[in-house]
Amino acid sequence: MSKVFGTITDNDNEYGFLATVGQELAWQMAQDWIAERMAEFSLTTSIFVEGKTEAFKTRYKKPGAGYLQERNSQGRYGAAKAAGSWDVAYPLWDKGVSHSWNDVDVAKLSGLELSNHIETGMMSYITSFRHDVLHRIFDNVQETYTDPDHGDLSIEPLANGDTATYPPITGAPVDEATEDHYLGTAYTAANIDDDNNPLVTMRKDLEHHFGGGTTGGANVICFCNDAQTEQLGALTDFREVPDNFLVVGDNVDVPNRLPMAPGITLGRSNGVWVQQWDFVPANYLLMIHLEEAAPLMMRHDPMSMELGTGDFMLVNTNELFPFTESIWRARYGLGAGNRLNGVVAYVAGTSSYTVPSVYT
Amino acid sequence: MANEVALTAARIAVIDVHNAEIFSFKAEAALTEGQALYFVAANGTVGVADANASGKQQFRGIALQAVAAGQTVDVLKRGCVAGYTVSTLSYDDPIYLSDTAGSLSTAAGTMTVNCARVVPVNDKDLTKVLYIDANWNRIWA
Repeated sequence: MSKVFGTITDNDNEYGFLATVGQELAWQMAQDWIAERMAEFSLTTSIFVEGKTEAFKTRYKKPGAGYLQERNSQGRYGAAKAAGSWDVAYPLWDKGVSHSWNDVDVAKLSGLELSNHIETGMMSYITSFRHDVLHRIFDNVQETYTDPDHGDLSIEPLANGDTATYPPITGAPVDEATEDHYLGTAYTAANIDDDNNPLVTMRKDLEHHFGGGTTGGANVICFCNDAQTEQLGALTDFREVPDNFLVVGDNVDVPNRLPMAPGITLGRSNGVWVQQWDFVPANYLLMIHLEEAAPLMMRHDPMSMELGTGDFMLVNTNELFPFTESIWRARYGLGAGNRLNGVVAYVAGTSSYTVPSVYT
Repeated sequence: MANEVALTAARIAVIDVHNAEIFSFKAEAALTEGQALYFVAANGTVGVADANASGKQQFRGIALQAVAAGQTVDVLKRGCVAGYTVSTLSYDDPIYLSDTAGSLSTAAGTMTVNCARVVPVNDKDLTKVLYIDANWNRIWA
């Protein structure tokens, strides 16, 4: 379904086409495509967005850490307490679309035709939402959002090497001072192999925060572009998800309990699900821990304002003869909350991370 | 002509109908969507404007439908319109009446007649469209 701007006119109906006996419209492909995008949207939301909030800022309190004190018979223990936190904030955008038509031209539309025009708005919402999700994940730069009620808010990406400190990682007794989940690799994507294996590096970067036990113990997924499937599929321990229409023979490792995630589950390698999702740009990999809090939070207006909870919905219709206008809107904002659940790698032979242009 | 602004007739459509000025007139001659129009003083109809044809060197709006001579056509005097191929132009580029009858152009014709400007729709891609603004009080000479 492609979108163009403009009110619905006489050029947008098939009234004349259908007036000829023997001609018909095919809607199945459009309906199937919409259904697929809706399903993908649901999965995208569940993987990347932990929940909704009315808050514009969240302070993540850190747990206390460190060692116990030792004393002899007359000494006393010094008082100790937890300290430290990191703040995140969320923007609140107003995004929408209107559909308009005049009374004559709309009368020539069949129900399915009008529905097809209206669903353009829903598809635009899904496209915008997905872009906003992936922008906030792939862009490692803090952004300032000027909230009309709360002033300048700092919208954070995943952990990007800034001054925020996080709870101690596995193997360390004190806070992790600097954490950067935006990686560059010294090798290019074409040179991914068992020795140059980003899956291991990225997985360890998640597991040292969240644990994971032995290899395969963590439910971690790595999203990749089609351009990287050949190299990742060639890793020695890659176990391919078998063809759905084949009965697998004996003595073959078959991945099971497949993840529910957007894209195609290709297989499992190095304790990681390998998932092709072409909205991830070529030469980038994105890894998420599926059993920890998702990285983003979605802000919406306070319930008391009755402006919705961030979903795309019809908010008004205007009548001004001969035109009718229906106005659809979603007021939401996305920002990182759990800044630790997500690792992005730029696999291009450079040690520094570069934001993909499509998500700047 | 090289500088003419191409259009897809079936895609000519006003973007915000509640924030546009649209008037209905009789067509002096056959018209197609997107053509630049002028007022025909002799009979009160609208005809195809032309920057190098005496008497037609003015701009009063664009046709929103294809009609035959004598039929009523809706004319967009002011507002944003889709359907012109302007993606390669720059934002804020001025658009002029062409020396080719009915066409818009990126370069001024024999008579410089300003018709429109390239503006963005505020989507993620900042899609370029034309903002039409016909000055009905203007006398081009």
